[in-house]
Amino acid sequence: MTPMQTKKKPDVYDDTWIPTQCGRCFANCAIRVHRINGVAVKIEGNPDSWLGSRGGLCAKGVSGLQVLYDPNRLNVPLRRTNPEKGLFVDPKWKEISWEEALSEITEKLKKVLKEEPRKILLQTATIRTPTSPVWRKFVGDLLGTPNRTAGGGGIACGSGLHFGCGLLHGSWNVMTDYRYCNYAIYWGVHNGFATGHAAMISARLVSEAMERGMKLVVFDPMSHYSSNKATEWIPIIPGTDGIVALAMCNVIVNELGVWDETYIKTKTNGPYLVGLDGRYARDKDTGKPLVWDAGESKAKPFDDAGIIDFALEGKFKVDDLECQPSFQLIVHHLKQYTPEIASSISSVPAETVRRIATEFAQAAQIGSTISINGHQLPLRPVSSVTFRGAEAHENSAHTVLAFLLLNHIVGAADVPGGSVGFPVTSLGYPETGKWKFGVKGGKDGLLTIAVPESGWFYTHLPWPVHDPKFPTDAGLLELFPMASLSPIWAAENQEEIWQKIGLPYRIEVMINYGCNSVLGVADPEAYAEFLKKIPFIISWDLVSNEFAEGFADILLPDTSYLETLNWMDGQGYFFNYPYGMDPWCCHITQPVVKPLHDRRYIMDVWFELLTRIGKRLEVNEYWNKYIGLDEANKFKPEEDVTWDQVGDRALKYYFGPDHGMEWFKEHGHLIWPKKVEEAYWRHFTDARVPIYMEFVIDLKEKIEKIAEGIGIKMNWDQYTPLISWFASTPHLVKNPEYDLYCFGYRDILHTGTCTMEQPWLDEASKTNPYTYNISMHTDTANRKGLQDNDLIEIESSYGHKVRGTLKLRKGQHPETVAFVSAGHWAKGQPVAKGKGTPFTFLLEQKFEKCDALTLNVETSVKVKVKKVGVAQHD
Amino acid sequence: MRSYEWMVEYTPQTEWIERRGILIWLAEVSNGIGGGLYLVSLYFNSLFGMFLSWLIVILLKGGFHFAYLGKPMRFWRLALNPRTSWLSRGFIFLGLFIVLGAIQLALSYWLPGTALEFLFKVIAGLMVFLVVINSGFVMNYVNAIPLWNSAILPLLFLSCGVLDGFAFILTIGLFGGSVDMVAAEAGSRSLLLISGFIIIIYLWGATYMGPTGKRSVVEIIKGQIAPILWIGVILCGIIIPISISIFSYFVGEASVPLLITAVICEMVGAFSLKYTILRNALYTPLIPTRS
Amino acid sequence: MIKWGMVIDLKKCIGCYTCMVTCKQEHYLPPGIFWTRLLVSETGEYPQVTNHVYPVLCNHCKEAVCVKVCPSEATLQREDGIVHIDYDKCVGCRYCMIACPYQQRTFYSDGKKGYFPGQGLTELEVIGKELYPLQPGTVVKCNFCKEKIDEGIRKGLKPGIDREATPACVNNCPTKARYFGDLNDMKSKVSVLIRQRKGFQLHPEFGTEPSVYYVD
Repeated sequence: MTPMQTKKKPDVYDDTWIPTQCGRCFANCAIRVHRINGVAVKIEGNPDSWLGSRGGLCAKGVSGLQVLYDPNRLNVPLRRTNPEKGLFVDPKWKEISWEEALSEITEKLKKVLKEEPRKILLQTATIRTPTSPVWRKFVGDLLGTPNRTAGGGGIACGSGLHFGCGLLHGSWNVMTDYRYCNYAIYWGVHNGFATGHAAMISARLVSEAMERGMKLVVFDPMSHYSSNKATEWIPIIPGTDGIVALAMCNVIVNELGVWDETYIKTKTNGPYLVGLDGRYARDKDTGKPLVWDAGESKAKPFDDAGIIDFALEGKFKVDDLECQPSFQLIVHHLKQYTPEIASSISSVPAETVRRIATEFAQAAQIGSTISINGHQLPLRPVSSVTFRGAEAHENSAHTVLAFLLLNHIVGAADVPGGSVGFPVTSLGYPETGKWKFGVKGGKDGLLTIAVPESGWFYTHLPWPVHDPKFPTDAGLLELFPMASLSPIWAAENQEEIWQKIGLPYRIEVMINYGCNSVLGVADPEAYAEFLKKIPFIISWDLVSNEFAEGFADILLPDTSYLETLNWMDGQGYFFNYPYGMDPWCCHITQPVVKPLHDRRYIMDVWFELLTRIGKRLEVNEYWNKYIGLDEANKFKPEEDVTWDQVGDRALKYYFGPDHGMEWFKEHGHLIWPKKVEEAYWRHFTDARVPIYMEFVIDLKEKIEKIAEGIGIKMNWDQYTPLISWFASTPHLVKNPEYDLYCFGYRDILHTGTCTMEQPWLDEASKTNPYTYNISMHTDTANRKGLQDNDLIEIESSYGHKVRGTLKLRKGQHPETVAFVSAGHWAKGQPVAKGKGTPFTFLLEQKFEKCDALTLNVETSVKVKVKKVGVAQHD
Repeated sequence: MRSYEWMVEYTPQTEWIERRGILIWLAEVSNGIGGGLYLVSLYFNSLFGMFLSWLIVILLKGGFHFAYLGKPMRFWRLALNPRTSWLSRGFIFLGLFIVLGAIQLALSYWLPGTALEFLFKVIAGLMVFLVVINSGFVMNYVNAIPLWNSAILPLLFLSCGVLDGFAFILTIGLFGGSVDMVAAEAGSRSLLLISGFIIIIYLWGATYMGPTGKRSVVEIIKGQIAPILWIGVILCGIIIPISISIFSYFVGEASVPLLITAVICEMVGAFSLKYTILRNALYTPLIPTRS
Repeated sequence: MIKWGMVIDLKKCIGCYTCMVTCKQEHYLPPGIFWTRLLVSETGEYPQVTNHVYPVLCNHCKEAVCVKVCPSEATLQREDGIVHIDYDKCVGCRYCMIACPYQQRTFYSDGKKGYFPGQGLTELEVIGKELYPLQPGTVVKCNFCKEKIDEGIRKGLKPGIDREATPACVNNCPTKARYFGDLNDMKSKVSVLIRQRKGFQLHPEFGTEPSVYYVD
């Protein structure tokens, strides 16, 4: 900033701009921070980087200074002296030294590792630095525990989304290729208009796209952010988007009779022949799935070089086996999802469903091409994308697949203008050829990761799907291999399930990295019962929050991103990269000021802890493997490396000896152009994706057998190879008293609940009518005798209650009530305390009531609302 | 008003009525009383009244304004922009009144009846007249507040000020001052009727100043502090005094307690009128809204 | 003669509050004081509802009422159109606050109030008071980041084009919804936008001739 022109000029002896990355959400946008006289005074977007909006930022990022300079920040390790644990308990913190803390942790870890490493549970935040899942895998692998979770998983996250996008795109999520897209459909998501993956990258791109004339259609129960700025907002009942998408697919293939033949024939398992039992017809010799070559009228393995034309229709006989192309099954299956039925369930008018489907199909320009950098590529300028909102339900997996199916029917997958994953192919940094990753056709010709086993890129599930096993992990993820996270931790029948699987241990040590899961997990009360049983909980965090105060035994002061050197947030990560043809851009996070007081970065602490418990050698080996260092560059066993040295070695290895940590500290980031083979890898890769999930048939048999043997009954109907509609619990609530759907949504001012402590964001929140309030449709409220500023009580069909201030609006589905989840009570966050209402208390989870494929939890609930008073003034 | 309603719904001004702004209200009321009393005292040639009102203007009006300033020690800067600022002009008028009024008081005390004294009476009278109507101009210059943006406002302030002056002169007369009580009562009676009439014209006129003006008047008449208008201004400020006045007209002289009651009620009316005009001064919302 | 102006593209604005917080950060503004902010309202009937989000700030009006009513000439208008306050001259009478139809001025009263009540002032707030000393008892408002503009021009940079010389709120907007430039230059981005997209001012009927335009 430029000082005021005053007569007495202050003495400025330090005036530096430092390029680094933001750490307020998982987008990790590039920023430049201004430091004057040792104090960080300004944060702005970095215009030179592509990781972000090229110069802009968001309010959360700008408020990072108030994370750094908050008198409530943890400065020294704390020990709980109050033996009582519970949701609203005062821990009575006592300050201790790092040595005392580390000694005790080491001792406890050594003990539990001798007994049973699986007694350790690791937890990270879902929505902050990407390094946290990397830490979780690192520490989890070295300690030897499979028990890992992300608080807020399923609430803030999308198990169904990761599954679907992994399966069909090899990526953690898919985004719209805004540069070329003309017609985008958003299902319950605000890409580019609020938070989310690659938030500011999308903000920049979607703004440019809409200026260019891209049409945006948004299905959302509320009109705000994306739905407010959309060309068309379509209100919808929460959790019913799946059937609307299926109806649209039906309209496209059955009423319009339109699909991208070439794409389906060559890039999907549409032509694979399927028998009466639903399984592939396989070649006797090779076991490969068969297709029908219409040119020669015979069945051949799908990758046979001599195939003239793949049949997508017809009934054939292969060795006395009656079979047909799976695509035909899909087309027929879709017929039941008429726009009229979809309308009756979702409240979207049938006429609208037909119209949007028709517009989408027409805008797809099937058959058209575009020339980019000298390559002729298919052009399909339509995109159907989602995240959290539409898929955080019990029908998560099928809902996401329905959205994605729209793309795949018209061939708009990883091609210009279509839905593109975060790039899953890199041909390597030009100067070194390293930093390479890619995909290929694997088992049954289906898309799988081609990177050699290096741990990099957090290789996403689920193809090939691991065989389900009798679970020995507390989360039961071994039994459900398509799930990313387990809902067990807050399931109200948790102990019952563990008894059923005869789990021989219980969680005795929990290690938490920056996650306030008490506010993030569905059903905090059930979750609290679980946490109370854990004898030793260690938490790393920036402030003392509800998780720490209620349950942590030792609370350690982590460094904020402005005090941290970390090479990992901008390397090899999977949900904040520049996508489409935006250039590659690798970053580091570096400290603007030295860690204040006695704060220590968690990675440094863990390197020390692992050494203390005798895992020094394993640490070196882990990073050798993770980075993929060759013999010449490997860490030798005797090297006592630090996290920073690992980073330096990694950067030099990937980008050359000139581009080590020092270079990155000076320049902040490294840019190189993206090739079309990387952005639009699908055109160049011989791999197919399963729009017909044949593998689910065998999987079902295996999982169901084990599960029923234990006594766990999921909604096995969801294990069907055909993408279908399944109603969720809220849709089936019959009691008419509970007449509204309630859900929590994301506000652009906040990342989960950790941003409510920053005063600038708190001030901004107060000036917004909705951020701290509960909103309902005006007419619905008036019919119930409710008005603006009434204090209301919401009671869910599970009997859980919360209270908050009502704000009426017309831009909301009349059958809904919604708010941003807030409602802090911790003493350690005085600014956040008492603002807003905590949503998660309304929910309840039973393990069996989750999405059967991905274990996603249901995040909306049927409620009733009543007035209990009038809210106090500001 | 909630933070998110600010300038999205009709928004009242707060700086000149809330928190420290109370002092502006008190200053305005003192302005009316002091200035009005001075003018009336000139008419009735009551030296005591002149001196009292001169003190009221300096110590109360001036004092409250001074105490209100964010940087009171810089008060002399208020004189620097008479070219375009009514506040500047008002400060200058006030300064001139203090000096010229002092001279006139001295003359009236030591050289009563002279031509010089008469001249200064005219000059001081003119100055105090400007001081009284100035606050009306300060407020009516503000286009942003339609309720204030009325040409009637300075007239209203003058009329109410003189009315207050008559009330005070009656009190002075009751406690021994040499005042023609009958004339004072007559003047009081007429001013009550005139002021009441001007208030009605003012409010009615304000409803023609666009939707914001109309809404301001609705707030005054029906809003949260409507009793201030009905009980304070109309009942206490006009109806009770005028009833007592008419009663005394038919009966001859009214009793002292009744007259005192009338004066107190008129004071309540003066405070109430300024208060409701300051409180319900609404700004127009800046962006499209449903209302 | 240069006349600085701003254009805000309501179509691009996503209501992220970045400009509001950036401005607070740029000028170390105390709690409760905003030099630019977002106004949010709703019109229409379900489901054709519009949420309006308007970033508003001092309009640096060409016929500025605040300049006319200021008794101490603390508020003045520069030749380049920027209306600014000389904090050494402000008496704190707040007439300008009353007179502004856009209500974009604030009285800074408590110099000791910090962002964390009862916990003193943070390092950031302390250095802020040294680098950007606002005076309690005076009226404060947006000044189009005139320090940046003047310093930038001195270095030969172009305000509205070069980041270093451009107002902070314009720089940090993630969708580039705010533009700054010379209204008297027919070819500047702001002039082109106003012409091509029929830029409008807030409440032109007040006759203040704002230098801030909106396009939608």
